[in-house]
Amino acid sequence: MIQQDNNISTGTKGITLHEFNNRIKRLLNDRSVQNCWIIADLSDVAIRGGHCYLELVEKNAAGATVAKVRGIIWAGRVQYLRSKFLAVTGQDLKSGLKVMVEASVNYHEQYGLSVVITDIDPSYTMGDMERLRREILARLQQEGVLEMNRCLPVPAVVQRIAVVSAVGAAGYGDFINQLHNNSYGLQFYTCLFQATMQGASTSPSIIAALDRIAAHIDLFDCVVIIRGGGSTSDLNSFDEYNLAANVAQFPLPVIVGIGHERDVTVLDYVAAIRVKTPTAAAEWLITRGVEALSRLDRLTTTICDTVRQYLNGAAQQLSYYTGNIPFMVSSRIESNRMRLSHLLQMIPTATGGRIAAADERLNAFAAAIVQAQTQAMAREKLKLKAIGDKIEILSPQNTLRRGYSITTVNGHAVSNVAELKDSDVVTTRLATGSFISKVTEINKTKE
Amino acid sequence: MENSEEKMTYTGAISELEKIVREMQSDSCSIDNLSALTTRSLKLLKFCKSKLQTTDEELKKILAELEQ
Repeated sequence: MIQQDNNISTGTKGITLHEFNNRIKRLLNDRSVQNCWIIADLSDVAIRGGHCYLELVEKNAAGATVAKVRGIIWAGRVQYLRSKFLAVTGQDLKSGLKVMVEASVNYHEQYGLSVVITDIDPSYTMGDMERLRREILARLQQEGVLEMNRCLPVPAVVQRIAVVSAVGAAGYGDFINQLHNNSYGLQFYTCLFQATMQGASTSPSIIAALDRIAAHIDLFDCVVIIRGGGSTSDLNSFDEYNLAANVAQFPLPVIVGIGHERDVTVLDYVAAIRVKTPTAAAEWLITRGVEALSRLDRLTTTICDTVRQYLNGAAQQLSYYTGNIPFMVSSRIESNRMRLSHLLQMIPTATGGRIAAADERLNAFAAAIVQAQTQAMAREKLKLKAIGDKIEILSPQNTLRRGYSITTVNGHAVSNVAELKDSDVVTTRLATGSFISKVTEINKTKE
Repeated sequence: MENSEEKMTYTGAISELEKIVREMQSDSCSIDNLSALTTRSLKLLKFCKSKLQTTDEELKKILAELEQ
């Protein structure tokens, strides 16, 4: 050993760098670093000469890079992996995505260390994007704002629209054309609030546009956020907490049309209305207007039908009376006439018997009256005679005849000695005549 | 009944229309007040339709200025 060391230290013979790198290469020819599934973020993705060059990066929670390696997808594999990834995630391979790739270490004597990527698991990326979305949604839910925009009542007719989009974008043009050239004569009023619809500034730019709309809120019925055409790769700039929180709490219903068929972003969960494309957003608004028109048509029909029914009913009633009144009158007259003649026929037979009976009763009354009167008169005669007899017995003449007398003074009959005084001249009447005398003594009978 | 045309809104007009229709279809509606209800409903229908299909130039101008 010592001798060997001495040999090296004396520089008898060194090895070439190539040889050294070759040794490294041989060392790396180990199964533990071949065909490994690695989880990492993509960075610096670039296609050159058909090959895809990139960097695999791992960052810690604070965002600092803790591991990094150059990666390469050989031209023959690039197309296959990009298609496979696109089919599931709707996105192209691009920086910022979290991926799981199958990679093997590659050491080239000249170019150094890198990994060759041979496969990719798109469902991992999907899962990661989904996890991010879930985290944002859970936070919004916890803050109680998740469903705020979805719960806003959408007006019956949505005509005044604040559009958030990029001015030159094809999608915006399609939206405007479709909306303003609708074949129903529906009027829409649009106002563009420009925003960047891709890249890192998407979220702050849209939030700024929403703030500008909020300053004129009374002018609008709703907000439409549309992303003009373009690739599907930039959708994750919409999966952002601040943007989602702003949309969720916006006081007007928000319609989002930023994706394509299979793309779903957090905005799709928080906005009042979610459509797939800008064209679909225009269609939704037109359909809403057409529904309002149909509702008016239905109301018109109902009102016309109701009025017609009333008028028909009234006309039928009138014609019924017109046709039936003469008949009703003549039949009433006829029935009354018949009743009258029936009554007339009944009068003689009905009254005849009654009159005869009444006659008999009257005759009997007359006879009874005569008899009663005769009897009453006889009774009265007897009564009168008895009274006359009594009067006769009690008459003063008869009394005088029996020896009684009547004494008068100054024309008045004296019934009490108190009425007399000495020397009064009194007349005494007897049955046969009278005499005059003078009072000489008055004796009062003791009681 | 909403009489002021200026204050009339589409939503208000529609709900008044539906109320009128219910009233027209109710047993208590007589042919005597049918005429007034019909006149009012036609006015509301015209208002709603015009709101949907006639351009509000003033609003258009305001929004055009806002967009600049």
